[in-house]
Amino acid sequence: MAFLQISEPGESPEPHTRRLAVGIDLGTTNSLVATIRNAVAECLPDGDGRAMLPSAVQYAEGGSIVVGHAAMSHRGDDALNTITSVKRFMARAVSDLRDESARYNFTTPSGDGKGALKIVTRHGAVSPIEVSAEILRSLKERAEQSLGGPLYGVVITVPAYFDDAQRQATKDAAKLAELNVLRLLNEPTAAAVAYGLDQHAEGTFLIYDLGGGTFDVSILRLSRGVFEVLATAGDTHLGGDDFDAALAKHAFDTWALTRALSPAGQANLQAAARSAKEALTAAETASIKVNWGCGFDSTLDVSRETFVELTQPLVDRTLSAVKRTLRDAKLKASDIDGVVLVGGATRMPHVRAALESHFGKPPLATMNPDEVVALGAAIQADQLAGNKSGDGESHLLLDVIPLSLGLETMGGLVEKIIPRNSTIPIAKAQEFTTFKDGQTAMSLHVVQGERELVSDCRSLARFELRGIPPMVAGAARIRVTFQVDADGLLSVSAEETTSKTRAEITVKPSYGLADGEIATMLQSAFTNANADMQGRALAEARVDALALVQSLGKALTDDRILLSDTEHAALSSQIAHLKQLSEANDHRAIVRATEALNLASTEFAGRRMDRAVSAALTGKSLEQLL
Amino acid sequence: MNYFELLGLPATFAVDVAALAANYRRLQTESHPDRFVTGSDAEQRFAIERATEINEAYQTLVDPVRRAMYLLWLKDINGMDEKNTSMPHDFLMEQIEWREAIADAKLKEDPERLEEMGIELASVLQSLGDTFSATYNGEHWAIATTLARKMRFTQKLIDEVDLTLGELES
Repeated sequence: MAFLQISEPGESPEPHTRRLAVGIDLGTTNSLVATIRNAVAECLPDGDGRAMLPSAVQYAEGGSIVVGHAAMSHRGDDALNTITSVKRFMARAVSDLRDESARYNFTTPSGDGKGALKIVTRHGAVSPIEVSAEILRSLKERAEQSLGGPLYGVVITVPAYFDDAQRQATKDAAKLAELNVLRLLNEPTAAAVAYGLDQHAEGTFLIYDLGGGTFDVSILRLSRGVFEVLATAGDTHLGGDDFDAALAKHAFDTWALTRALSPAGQANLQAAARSAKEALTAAETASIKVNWGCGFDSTLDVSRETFVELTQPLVDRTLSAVKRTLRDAKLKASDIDGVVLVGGATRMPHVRAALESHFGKPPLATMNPDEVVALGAAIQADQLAGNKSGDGESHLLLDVIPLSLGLETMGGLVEKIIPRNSTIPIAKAQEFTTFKDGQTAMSLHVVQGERELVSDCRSLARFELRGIPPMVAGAARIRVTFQVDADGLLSVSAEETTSKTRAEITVKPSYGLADGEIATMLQSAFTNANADMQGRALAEARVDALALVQSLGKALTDDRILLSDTEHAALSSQIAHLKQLSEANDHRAIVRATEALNLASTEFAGRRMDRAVSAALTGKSLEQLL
Repeated sequence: MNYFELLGLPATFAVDVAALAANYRRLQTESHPDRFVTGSDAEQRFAIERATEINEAYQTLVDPVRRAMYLLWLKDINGMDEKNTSMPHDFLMEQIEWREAIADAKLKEDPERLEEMGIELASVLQSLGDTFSATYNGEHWAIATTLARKMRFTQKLIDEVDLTLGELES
């Protein structure tokens, strides 16, 4: 068995059987994968020693899909089929697009411009989720080759300011790439983990994360292994790409080009602008050089001063988010012990200068801003997978929801249910009643954002509640619970409280995929590999079964006292049964027995949790806690 | 188990904020879903429920206005009920004056004045809290309820000041 070694109930896995876990930074322009090796977090390079994988996917002729550097080289000559910066399109509609609307041929399933967009390539229309899955698949292969086995699980980072639909889309992409997502982690939080553990930092830190396409700022309190996010803000449409675009537009205007550029010309100009921007980090002047083909080219010299002038408005936008975060955290600039720089775009000198002047001290740049997010994700993946980290110390992350969740009420207004910067997991219940006699269904529209009008917020989903027992108008009491989990994802449940009837809920996501769609995509990826699917299903069933056998076996020994003899005997025999089944080849039987054991152990799990919580407070004196 | 019991603290307004934060972190360390990623479905479900409850308890107790309301709720008093108490006339007049002052500072784009008002309101809230604490301990429920409502009004003014400062900045 390559997955897990079977150990007797009560024994933990052998110390050398570490679960293979990685952290993935799925970036707008570049992606990375990192892991813990010999107690050190490190990025895994490709065969040519490069850690960064350009987030580019080419749908090539002949049906093949090319990812990374090889795809990047076709940005000019096959622009319409070579997708870059796909992260900007995640869970977005055509009507959300700004300047990049001309780069590809976009389409919408419904044809009305609403709903999640797709990109038309020579392989047909592909969703941003599918494109992202290709990038994830490439990183997964790299990691499995490098680590020599299948991955147990991954932590994938997302911008802190991603809304629910964008998070769900990222998780769907991972599902499509057949990755077990242990947690979605906010990028600045991941960076804080890597930085905080590396530097043994204590105090209040502001993480300034300017990536290729997104900007986040988070304030965290670091204290004795607890990383508590106090507030976060950002802009999912602001990053290094926009600085390139400002330079490109400047060149375009200066050259007084009369015609709109072809997609290939646009890609060439953008690439030239990026090189110039990068050169201006060290040099006072740089040139934008574009070869248009047919022996025609253009060159423009740009000084750093001009570059700063062109892009200062972008830097100012990041600063206003910084101020808002400070206000939300109820802190002043002088309360911040250090500003940590994350993302390649923070190399620009005028970004650093702006932060230094706002905080009165130079920002911290001790770690590689390109890698720090992936490294933090790797550290977290290792801990979540149950591998003890190098120094044996475990840490805890307390993150927040970046944008308020609300419900549409009369007149298109929003009633806030969960305010932004609430620590997750969080739940809020709201009571509703019927307004017609015998009404058995109602609909709820959930939105995310800070504005008062529904039309100014982002629509997340419409929930249809059915199965409300018929009563006179106003008599039913429907309690709807909004739960945001540790990934920052929302789920909704509803109950009629007078009759204790659970209402049925159907979700119509505004931008995401319905559950069936993922299954179809997975299916089509495997139409020619049916045997492989069978083997996979069996392998997955075994992994799940054995994980349960192990954790429950250990719990039975540790907390024997919480069970009566009869209860103990019943659970033990079910564990033995599941163990036996998992050595055979019937994956359905294994799944059924796993579910049955999960159900049977629910009460026991509840008792253990209660005990753990009360032990947490009585076990240590106050002095030790402080 | 009420929120004070959950967080291992006596049910008083004058909470030891450092102990509250330390106990909160200690509890979350044990019950956060991150601890149960490899656990059974049931364990994961309980962990989310527990961590959610602990977060709610902490957020309620760490905020003075919510803490006051919660203390009243423990005595079966709903301080948020609009029908419950009518506010004294002079207090309502004061409220109107504060609102006008905020609107005026906004119009004149005077962030310094707003910052000053924020500090002043914070000290008003502080002294209301001190009085609430004394009357609550003395079991003068009606007075305590009025004080908690005054605290709530004052907090709303503070929020309004913050919001206005944010608007002026952007």
